[in-house]
Amino acid sequence: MIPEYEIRVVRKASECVAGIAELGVFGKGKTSEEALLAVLRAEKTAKEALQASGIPLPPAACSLDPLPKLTRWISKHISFFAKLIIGYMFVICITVVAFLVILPSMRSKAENYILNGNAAVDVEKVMSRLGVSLCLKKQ
Amino acid sequence: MKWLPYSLLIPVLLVGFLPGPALLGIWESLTYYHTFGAVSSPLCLLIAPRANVGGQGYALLEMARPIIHGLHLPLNLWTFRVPAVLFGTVSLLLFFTICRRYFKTWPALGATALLAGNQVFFQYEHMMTVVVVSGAALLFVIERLQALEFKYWDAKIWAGFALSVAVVSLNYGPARIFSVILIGLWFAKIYWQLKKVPGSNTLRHGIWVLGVYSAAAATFLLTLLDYRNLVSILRFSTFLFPKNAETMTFTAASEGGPGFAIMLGTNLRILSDSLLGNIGEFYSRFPSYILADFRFPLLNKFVVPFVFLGLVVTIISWRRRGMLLATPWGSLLAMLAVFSLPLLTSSVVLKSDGLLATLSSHRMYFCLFPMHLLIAAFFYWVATCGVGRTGKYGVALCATAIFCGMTVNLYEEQLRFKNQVFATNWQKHGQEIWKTWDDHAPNVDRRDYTFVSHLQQHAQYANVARQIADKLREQRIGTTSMARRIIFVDVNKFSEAPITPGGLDYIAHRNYHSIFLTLYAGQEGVPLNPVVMVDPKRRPIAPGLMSGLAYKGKPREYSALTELDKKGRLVYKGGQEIIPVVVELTGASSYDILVTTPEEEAGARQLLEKEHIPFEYVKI
Repeated sequence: MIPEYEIRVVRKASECVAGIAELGVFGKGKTSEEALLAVLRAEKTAKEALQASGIPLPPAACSLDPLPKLTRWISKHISFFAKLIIGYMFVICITVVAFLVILPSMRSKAENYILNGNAAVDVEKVMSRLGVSLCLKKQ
Repeated sequence: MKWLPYSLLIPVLLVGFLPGPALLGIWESLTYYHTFGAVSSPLCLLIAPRANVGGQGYALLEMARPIIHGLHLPLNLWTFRVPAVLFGTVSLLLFFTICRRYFKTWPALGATALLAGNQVFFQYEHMMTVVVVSGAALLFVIERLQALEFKYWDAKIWAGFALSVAVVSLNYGPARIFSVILIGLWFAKIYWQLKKVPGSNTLRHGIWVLGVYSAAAATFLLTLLDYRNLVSILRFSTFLFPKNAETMTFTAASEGGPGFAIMLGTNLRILSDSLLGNIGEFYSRFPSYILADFRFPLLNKFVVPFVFLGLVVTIISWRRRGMLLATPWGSLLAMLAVFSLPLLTSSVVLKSDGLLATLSSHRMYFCLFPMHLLIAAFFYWVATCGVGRTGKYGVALCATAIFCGMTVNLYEEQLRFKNQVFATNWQKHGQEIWKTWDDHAPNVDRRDYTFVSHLQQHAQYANVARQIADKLREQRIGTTSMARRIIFVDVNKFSEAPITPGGLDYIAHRNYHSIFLTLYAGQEGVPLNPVVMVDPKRRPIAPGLMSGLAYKGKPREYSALTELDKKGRLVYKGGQEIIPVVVELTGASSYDILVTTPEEEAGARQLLEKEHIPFEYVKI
């Protein structure tokens, strides 16, 4: 199936610019019709070049956005409470990483925690409570 | 006709299978001893802390030992260098792919052939240093970025990109710096390119999110390899510019240095000579001398015109765009700038006998790739811009002749170097060996005797190994005995012994001679297993000593410490409890045991008597 690309035309000062983001092409003109014609010509050239090289046409941009796709998948497959827990963990992780990057003193503590092997021991404890044995080697 | 350039690629790749240098290089010998000198050497998957050429524990190099054992191969220079040749071949394939995407198949084949025949590339393809591995990893990053320009929506390519970032992170420092700059430039380019196109917000957003996912995937992958890699990633500035490592800095401008202008001028001269194929004041006449950290020009004089014509074509066309998000000419210029300009800030040290520039061949190695891409750009211009059939075939003929000439040169240089190694004066040592190894080039900052001392030391190993092989063959002909043989070679035969690796103190002052001699004996077709005396009480790296070292993997057991006695002879240090260990280095079965000191001889005898195994002596 040949994907249909959205053509967006905008007016910039004294000229119009029409573009197809997926193909990375745009055309300029004094009027929107001229810009549109220019971009259609560019689209044709780009598609011919892609066909000649055996490169497939890119999908429509809306299908590229991975975040909405991921959100839809999560909404469909994961219950409310699981989403709440995942969201909570995500916020905590982001906050911890932000603090580690911003504050050198916290960073050095985190490094010691990892390098001394305490992190491995704690992870093993938590996982063993969940019934998973990691068998990490003691350093 | 479509398959023809691909089938011609095979002989081009086979150039890498020509015999390599007859000796180990300085940095390569550290890799060898670090990997094969240890009683056992588990692979270390940590991000290399110093990330320099002398640093150790690079898993992709150290896999040589498991390969030899796993495939039951004999140990010799060729089998030891299998990973290097493999990564060299991967580099050529990746380079061909990159060229082909931008400049079509025939120009890509021409440029790849000239790269395969390049003396500097060939030397690194046959040296077990991290340079060739990092070159392949860097090309992998470039190839993935380039693939994304044509298929930015493909999740598999993004996954490959994450993998390439993880691989490049584990290895040589400059490749990490170049990768980070290239990735930054790529995202900036995509941003500006799409910003001009109305309605591209969703697309830009999507690419940005996929980039973040890839960064997370690369981090996850590195953490899986070793969880301590997380620390290296958190210390991002140290990850890019490790302490005491091989980084491009302005240290010459600091106190004690010769000053910024001299540093810049010196580096400019070194780099421009290299690109023009001049020996000048900083380069050796022999590419094999790269083994001892001499420099050799990056480009052959016959190749230089192609590069300059390619540069002209690229500059003229730099604003031209390719398909989708590709900008071949602009990307090529960016690559050229990224791989060459930071080199100009390599530090220059003021010594009592003159300047010492740290801009060495292993730093300039990466410039080979944009230089040969320029050649592909020129070939592409010839193929597409109406120079006529005569012009096209003329250029193709020239390129083929140069490739053939360069391949013959590679072979001749290896033969010449081998003759030099097996010259009659191999027993000499000290300052007088300078005459033996003099290449009659100024080498203004490489004239020190210590540079050639390495070559003489390994020439001694190679010659003694030949003596061992001759004697063992002679003896085997006259006897039918299948008893094990203890081969005694006095360690003091090796009068030239310069290795004292800074930053790797735990492998200094060891009996490394027997380990090196085993490799060279293997090269002569004699598989040996050396005996080393090990101090069981001493842990090689105490955790407190690990800070600042160029290796932070699991502790390894090497030979016990040695010292010079009153007569100046090398002996195991007194006052330590030592036990003999037969280190099985070769994957092929061997009845012959190599000993180099009286302690090792007694130890080997005890081991065999304990097991009631008959044996006989062979003294060299």
